[in-house]
Amino acid sequence: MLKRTSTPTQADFQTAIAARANGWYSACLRITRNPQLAEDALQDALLNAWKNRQQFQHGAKLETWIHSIAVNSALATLRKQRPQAFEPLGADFEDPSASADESHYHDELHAELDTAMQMLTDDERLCFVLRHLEQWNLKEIAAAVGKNANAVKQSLFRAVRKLRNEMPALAREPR
Amino acid sequence: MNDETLILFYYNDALTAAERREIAAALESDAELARRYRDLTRDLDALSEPADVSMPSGLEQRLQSSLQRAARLEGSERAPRAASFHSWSFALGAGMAAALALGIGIAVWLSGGEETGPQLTVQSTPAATVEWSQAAFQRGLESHLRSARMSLGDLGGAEDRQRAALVTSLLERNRAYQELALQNGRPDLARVLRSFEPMLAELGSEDLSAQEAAAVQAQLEFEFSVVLTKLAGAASQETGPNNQELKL
Repeated sequence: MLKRTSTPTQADFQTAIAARANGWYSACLRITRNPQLAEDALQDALLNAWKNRQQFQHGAKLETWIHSIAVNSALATLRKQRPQAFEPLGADFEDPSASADESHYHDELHAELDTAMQMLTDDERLCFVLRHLEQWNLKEIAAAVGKNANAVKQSLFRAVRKLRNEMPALAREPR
Repeated sequence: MNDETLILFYYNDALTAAERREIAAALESDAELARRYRDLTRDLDALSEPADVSMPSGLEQRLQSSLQRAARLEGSERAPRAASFHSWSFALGAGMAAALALGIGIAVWLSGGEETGPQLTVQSTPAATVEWSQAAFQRGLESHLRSARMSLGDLGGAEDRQRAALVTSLLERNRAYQELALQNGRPDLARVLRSFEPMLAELGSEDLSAQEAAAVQAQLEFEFSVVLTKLAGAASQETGPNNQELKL
């Protein structure tokens, strides 16, 4: 258990927002697939983090701590919503450092990922996002989505299989 | 060895140390298995760092403002005068909460949602009942907004304690209606109600000057009126429950 230290200040929060709000929003959007829900989840997360800032522990990064609260908030938001609330993700991916070919490859990859993600069920998408992108372990995911670890494992396997089948760009290396 | 095992190996999850050693040894000795694992690793690695999505414009500013308001509100809550409530102000808040609970109960009961709970009314009840439920919800919301608008009018002459109690009560009711809006399949309304929260919270702030308070109050009264007008317009157009998105 990490030792508690001084509570983050308002200035710390402001700096964290300026540095990482985009990443938090992206994580919420990957989970909710709905820009407005992602924004709501992020607003909630930030206010929760502020209210509970005394629980922030030494050794953790404030940005990372808020990120995990944002992911939980997105999950909670999602649980409240009906399936009709989901909509395709019109994401605008950019990587200015990539070469033209690489950039084209990544554009293609992200476009395919977006399409392929829509073929996943909610369970499969959540398990994949939480395991693969958020790096939660299977037990943590099981607790968060209210399923047993084996069901989570099966959802993850199906998600990986579907993504690999649906994304031809995966089989091509960037030129 | 199947792909599932390789996936768990890749994630280093749900395998014992002995199982991991066994898989590592198999990968050393089996070229075909090693090729499959390389392909899997290549595919999963390619999906590991998706670029961040562009944030909606103004979101960072909205987050900064929310934080500022939360910090400000917290400062006013810590102040002794806001912390000590008289029994009458507690009774006022409790009375309003009870009235709200009663209203919600009646709306749910009238909509036939007592067996399934309000959350299920949109998806599991016949269309006529859904419309009924939404109509009941909308009437309740209109009543809340009208009463909130009147309460705002009373704030100017209120003593500090009375003001704090009124603002707290308005915030609680506003949150309850946000929840109800979501349960009635109206996330658009929930968002609008949510947007009132920072302004309401600001009204409860102790360090707000009379001039600032009047400005926030006027803004809120205007916003409540706009929503009431939109709700009345939506109801008169009889657009049905699925296309009543509130455009503000």
